[in-house]
Amino acid sequence: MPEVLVVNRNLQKENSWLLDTYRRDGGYAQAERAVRESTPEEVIETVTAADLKGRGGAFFPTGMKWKFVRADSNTPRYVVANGDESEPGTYCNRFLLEKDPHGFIEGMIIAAFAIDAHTGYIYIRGEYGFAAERVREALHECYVAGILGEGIFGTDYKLDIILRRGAGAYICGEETALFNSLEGKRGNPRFKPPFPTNSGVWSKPTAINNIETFACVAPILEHGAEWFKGLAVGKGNAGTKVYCLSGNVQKTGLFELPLGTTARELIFDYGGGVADGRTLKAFKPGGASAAVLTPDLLDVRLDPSIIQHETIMGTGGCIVLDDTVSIVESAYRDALFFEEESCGFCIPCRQGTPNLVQILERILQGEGSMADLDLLESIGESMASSFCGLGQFAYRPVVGALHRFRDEFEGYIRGELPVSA
Amino acid sequence: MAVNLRIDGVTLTAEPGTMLLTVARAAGVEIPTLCHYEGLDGSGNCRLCTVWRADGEGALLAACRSPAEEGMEIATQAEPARAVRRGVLGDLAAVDLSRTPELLDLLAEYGVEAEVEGAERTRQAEPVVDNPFYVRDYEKCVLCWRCTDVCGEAVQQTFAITPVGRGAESTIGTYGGIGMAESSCVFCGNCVQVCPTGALEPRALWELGDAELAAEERVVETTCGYCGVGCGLEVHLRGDTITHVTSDPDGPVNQGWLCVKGRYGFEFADAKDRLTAPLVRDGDGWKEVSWDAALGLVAARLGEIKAESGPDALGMFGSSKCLNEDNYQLQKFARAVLGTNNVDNCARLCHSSSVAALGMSIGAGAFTNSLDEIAENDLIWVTGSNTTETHPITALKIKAAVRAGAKLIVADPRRIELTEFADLHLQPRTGTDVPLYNALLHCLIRDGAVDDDFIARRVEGFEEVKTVAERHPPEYAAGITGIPAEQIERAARMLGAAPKTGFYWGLGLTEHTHGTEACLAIVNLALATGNVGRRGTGLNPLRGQNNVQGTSDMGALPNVFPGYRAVGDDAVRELFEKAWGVGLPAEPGLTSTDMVVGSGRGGLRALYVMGENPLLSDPHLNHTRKVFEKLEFLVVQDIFMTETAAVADVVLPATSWAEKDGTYTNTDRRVQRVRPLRSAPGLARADWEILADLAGRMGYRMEGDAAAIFAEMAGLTPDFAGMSHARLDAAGGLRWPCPMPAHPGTEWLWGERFPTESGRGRMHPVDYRTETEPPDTEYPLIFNTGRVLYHWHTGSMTRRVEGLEELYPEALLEISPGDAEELGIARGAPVRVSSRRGALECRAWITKRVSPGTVYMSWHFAEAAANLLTIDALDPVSRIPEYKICACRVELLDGAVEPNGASLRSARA
Ligand SMILES: Cc1cc2nc3c(=O)[nH]c(=O)nc-3n(C[C@H](O)[C@H](O)[C@H](O)COP(=O)(O)O)c2cc1C
Ligand code: SF4
Ligand code: SF4
Ligand code: SF4
Ligand code: FES
Repeated sequence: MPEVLVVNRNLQKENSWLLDTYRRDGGYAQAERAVRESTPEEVIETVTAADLKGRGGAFFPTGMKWKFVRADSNTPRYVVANGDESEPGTYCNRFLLEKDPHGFIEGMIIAAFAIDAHTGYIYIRGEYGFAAERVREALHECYVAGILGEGIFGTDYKLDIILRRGAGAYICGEETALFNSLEGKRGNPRFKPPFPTNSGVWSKPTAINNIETFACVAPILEHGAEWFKGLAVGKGNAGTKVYCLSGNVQKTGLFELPLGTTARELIFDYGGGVADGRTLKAFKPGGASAAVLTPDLLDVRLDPSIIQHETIMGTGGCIVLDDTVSIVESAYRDALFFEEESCGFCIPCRQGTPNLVQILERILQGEGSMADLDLLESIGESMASSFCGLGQFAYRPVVGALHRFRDEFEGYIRGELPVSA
Repeated sequence: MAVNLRIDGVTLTAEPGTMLLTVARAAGVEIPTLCHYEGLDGSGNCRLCTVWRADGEGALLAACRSPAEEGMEIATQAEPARAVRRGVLGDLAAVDLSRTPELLDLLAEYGVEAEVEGAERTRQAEPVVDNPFYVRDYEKCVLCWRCTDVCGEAVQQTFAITPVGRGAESTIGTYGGIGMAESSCVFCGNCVQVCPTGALEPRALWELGDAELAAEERVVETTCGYCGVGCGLEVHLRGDTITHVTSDPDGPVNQGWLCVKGRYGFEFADAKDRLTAPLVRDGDGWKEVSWDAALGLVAARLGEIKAESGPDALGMFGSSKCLNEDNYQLQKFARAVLGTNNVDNCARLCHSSSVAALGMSIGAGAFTNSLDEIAENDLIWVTGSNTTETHPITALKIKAAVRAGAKLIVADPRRIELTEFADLHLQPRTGTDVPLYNALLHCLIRDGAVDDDFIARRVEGFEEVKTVAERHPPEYAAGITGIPAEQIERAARMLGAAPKTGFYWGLGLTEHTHGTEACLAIVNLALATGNVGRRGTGLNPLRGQNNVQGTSDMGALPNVFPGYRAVGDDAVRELFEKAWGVGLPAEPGLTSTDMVVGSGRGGLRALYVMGENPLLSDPHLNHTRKVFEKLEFLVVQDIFMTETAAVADVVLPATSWAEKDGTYTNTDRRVQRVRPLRSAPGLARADWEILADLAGRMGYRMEGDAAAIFAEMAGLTPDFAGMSHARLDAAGGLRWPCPMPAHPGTEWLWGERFPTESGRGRMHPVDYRTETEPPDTEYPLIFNTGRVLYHWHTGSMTRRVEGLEELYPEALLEISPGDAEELGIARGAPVRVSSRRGALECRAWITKRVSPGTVYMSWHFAEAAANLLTIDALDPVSRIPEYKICACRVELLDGAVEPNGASLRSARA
């Protein structure tokens, strides 16, 4: 089965990142038509009807988000593209940023028009230097071509888009931390409510979306809401999702597939199955934040409904673990990541993340006790009330692994498994 | 529409937007908190207040920041919530919570074992002791971020401290890790007050030994004795020793926030050199004598001089630092015992122009509105006031209003801190206010942006003023003021557009020979735009000292009785004559400046000074000194041997703020109680009591204590008739007018009519006059004077506070980089500053705060007294001296540039 190329449609083209290439195949026609001929309400209606949901991991309905922003009379309003993409195992935004920057910029322009924003920000993680360069060039092309700036597309609509860089903190992908970072403050999250739709960057109503979300917008306007909905499989899904496959699998990489594709299809049909003749031990469907699933669950759909299995769809970064992998060690690596990335703002996450690491270290070194397993659970219970999503999810890979592979944890404790870490 | 919800099974209603914590607490349901601080949004980061939302899918919510919603079902003790709290408390167990018994109790309640006492320090090797006022011991820090919130956007907007590091390595620190004293910290101690664990602790408290700590703590609620904001204080004592000061977050004036002087400036009261016994001159020295001997001598000398030369050969200075009761007693003494109206106070030197101008125009010279209403101003107009340093809490209110969306225009020749928050900074050449305000009026009239209806209903004299304004197009004013015409236009547009503007001014406007006219000019603007006599607007002179408002209210003025009733008004005089049982003089007396400058209707032979220090605070000190030396008899009643006391014949020891029992009236007319912290040192006595004793010796009986004196005053003064000490104790402060015992006091004034004869506000045409002594080739720079945050007036109090001295130990000359370069002056270089009247030496602080051509100095420092240079030219109406402008010369002195450490620390800008 071929991929369904919507957001990734331009990636293989020669000089795909240039404005000329993009325009040759009808690029910016949707933005131009929206700004010149549509009303903001029509745009929002179409996006709402298409049932586009945020690809940043929370799957919040995009049309509704824009409607909320528009409904707030406070001005100015802002549009923000979240290109912080720091979830381990996730790199779909990176390819869009590097190879097709105009695709998501067009989506941003349409969004800006829909919410009547005259300033947009693109926030790109610090490590994505090349991607940022490409975006900078693309923005420059837009200004020169009258696609951005004073009076875009020959109308009197003004729109500036400003590029900002992160500085190496995962937390700055969380929308409110991102706003703080944009404003030059310490990148820790802010309390919600108020939500970004009412109080985002500079405390003004803000539509913040993932790069991939924006990249869906122009195709939706071009082909219509029904077409977009028809792309997906499974209940409540619409459109495609760019899944990122990594781990010990034959073919790693990006696969743009109907949203709702099953893990089995992704790993075996597209990824060619586990590499090196190994068998599948487990897989993480949504990056480091997602808890592992076992092979008996291969037929679950990779969409938000996966939450019923104690894990998350997240950003669609699917990581394949073969039978040689120690699950405890893998959980330990996740824990290390979150210890490193906890911003330190709230008590449960600031203290909980290093506590998890300590206990897992103990267990891996054969010095753990059965009581440690209860401790892992109770740390999780308090981290559940962490201030932001990072802490609220950070314990789940550990506790999820414990629930599905308790034997293995106990094996280390009983000294049946080789000491590691 | 109220929302209905259930908390622990009880149905409750709440206003939408109310936080669950507030709803629960109001219903008597306790939820533990840590980062939450009443009155602040709170960071919401401790999660100790987590509750379980049982409806819907179920959720953990932080009660302190989660608003109540319709249909919510909240379980505060559900297991998932308790598990969170257990976890949080478990994480706190590693923190040194020895100063927080409540938290230790909570740990116990949740079955969490606290770390043993004396455990190894794991988080910070040593407590940081890097400033005089507080210690930072992050071993006790729970990273609640209250301190950084308060220092940042929530309150101070100083941004001296910030969370640093991330994850488990997070801590609190300064930007770049520099020491507190090198940072932008202004030592308000507001962070210390909100710290829940003692990680930030007042140094005096931290330094107490275990035994002292164990002693029982007393807390006395009183009012700050420094500036006119009148902050409420809670003074903590062990025995007679003040350990620290906090403030009630529910306090009506300052909501718990204080400045460095209010929080840490109390040490002077315990200074070793407090006056503790009456002193009479003995050759070049002093002789300690009994009260009997001292007062006997004073009574005899005053009696003699009065008998020889009549009562007007005597004069008295009241004190803006003393109580209403003291000042009432003093003016009564002058009028009833001495028989003279020669009584005045230092309001003469600060806001007499405001009082005169407001009196001439709207009939009464006080804040027309209130500090609370700053929050309601759409446009805040600040001029001639370095509010951040001289009225710190007012500045907090202004900054908060700006943060909430108000516009701010600062008109000030200096680039003061508030300009950083301003939408527009108009930077006039010193002393050119009149043309600026005339030009603003010009634009408003031209653009039809004046309030015609208000003018028609409530104003007279508009046509004359209009004629003058017409002659003042902005281009013309620009030539005089140096403010670009388009900035004047922009300011006028902002004024015209703002529904409610509040005008706030300080001494930069008043202390000129045309001070009254400058105030009239601003009054014209307010009357023309209808920004007075209405809520959220107002003409609001920021009164400097703790009781400068009250001292004038009490009639320590040469022309009026208490309540600003003219001494020449027969009916009023009869009222007082009847009450006091003696005939009273009808002729207004001499102002203090006329008494001193001696240019008035001379003949003054004896002067009685209560709590004032003219030999440092008056202009042209060399001349003032001569006048004082010529006096035949000088009595000074004070708490220290001030520069003035030093030349007196008799010095009488009085009580300080720490021992006083009575009332102060703050800048927005709020009368508040001052309570004694302990008894007076040695033989020192209350000011009013000394006067009563003296009166008895001069054949007049003055009876009763402070409460009785207040009652007598209230009985004779309709604006205060509803007040008494007892009521003030219960009500916590009342704003006059308060004419009846049930009256709540008055927030803003003159809603219907002004207290003038016609009931209308009168505009006065005013025109520009140059200063008395413009710069010339010989003295090419403008010499401007004022105050700094860390000191107070003549320094008799603040310079006896070690920490304040450490932070700001010496006078500095503010000079612009260009002028400094021209004169070859480097940062911290010693300079000589001179005028036609005197010279001083100090060090230079090169700063862009002052504009080229102007230098600035504070007058707190006796060893480099700015008033040696100032000119004693007076405003013809208010008799205020021209402190803000005279000509001077600056020269580089030989000698080493001292290391800049301490003394330039406060000079950071
Ligand atoms: C810890 C954390 C990290 C996040 N990182 C990202 C990210 O890198 N990129 C992203 O688009 N969204 C990220 N999010 C989600 C954003 O907060 C936000 O929901 C998203 O940008 C909204 O866009 P969408 O509606 O298009 O998904 C993160 C959330 C959390 C809690
Ligand atoms: S959950 Fe973690 S990342 Fe989020 S605020 Fe708390 S400490 Fe920061
Ligand atoms: S120093 Fe005090 S107020 Fe500041 S974060 Fe630590 S515990 Fe909180
Ligand atoms: S004392 Fe005041 S200025 Fe200094 S750090 Fe604390 S809150 Fe900030
Ligand atoms: S008190 Fe609510 S989170 Fe701290």
